[in-house]
Amino acid sequence: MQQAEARFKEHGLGLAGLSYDSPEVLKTFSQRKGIRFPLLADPESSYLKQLGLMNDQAKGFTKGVAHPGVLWLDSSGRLKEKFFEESYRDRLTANTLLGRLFPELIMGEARPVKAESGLNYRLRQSDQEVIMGSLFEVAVEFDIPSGAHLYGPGAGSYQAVKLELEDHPWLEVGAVELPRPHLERLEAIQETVPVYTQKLRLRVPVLVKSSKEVAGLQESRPLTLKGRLSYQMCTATTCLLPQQKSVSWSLKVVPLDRVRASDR
Amino acid sequence: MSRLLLILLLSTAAWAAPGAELKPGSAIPTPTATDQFGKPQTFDSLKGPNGLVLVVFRSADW
Repeated sequence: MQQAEARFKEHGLGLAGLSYDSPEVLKTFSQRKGIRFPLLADPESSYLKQLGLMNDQAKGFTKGVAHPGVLWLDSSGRLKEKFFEESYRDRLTANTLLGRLFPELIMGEARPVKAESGLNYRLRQSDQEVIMGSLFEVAVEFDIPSGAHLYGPGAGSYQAVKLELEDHPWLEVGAVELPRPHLERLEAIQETVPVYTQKLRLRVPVLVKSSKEVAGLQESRPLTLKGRLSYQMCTATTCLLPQQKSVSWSLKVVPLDRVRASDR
Repeated sequence: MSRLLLILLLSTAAWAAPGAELKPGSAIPTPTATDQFGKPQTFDSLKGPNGLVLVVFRSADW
């Protein structure tokens, strides 16, 4: 989150954390994690109660704890968006969250790939490092040369853009998000087909599953998510052969930090 | 048949989604709290020109 703070600033957003911890516990935690943005202490859970975010079911030392999530307030204090996952184990990474708050923006690293005849694409991922429960995102971004197009679903015998990701025991791969294509009349073949031109971005949400193996990690482990990208590029008059490319994204799964601030 | 029953059961569960009363578009209570540096903070001291993202988390201590 601390690395993301600079990005929030770039977009004119303040960033603060909130929990039922005391300022002292938050101080130790922020020192250990190198967190410089404010972490608000609500030890009586009074603000959490006002927001309706106190977990009524929590007992014992967890009494008063919050339901975790994110609130986005505009500059006048109105709520713009809220994200409260039903399962506490699913945590949006900061970069994925920013990508959802500002859909026109994708955060994170991208690797360019030169394809054929002026087609380029980039393999992007919202995060390099994830933990158990992280919800991150991978994407393929095409730059389609002018005069050419790729096909969307329902393009008949043409190879529509498709991304198929392989299973990985630690990951739950979500549905590929493909924007709606536009219909174009191709006079040369007297057909109207669904196409993509100029830019195309496919996004896939991926969850790092809760498992004993991942929970028990003592050190970071590399992980490669592999897939197959299919497409066919045509101009108004000619088509290239359908293509199938291997794609992959490399990440690191980092162990959960389990050391209690009050034990230090 | 059992899937329908499950859907009915879930929809009648007394449990409400967290933050259900917080409606996008409406004004909500804004924070006034001390941060980890002992500094009193308010919405105005925390926000940027485009607003504030508040990350509510369970604990720094578990």
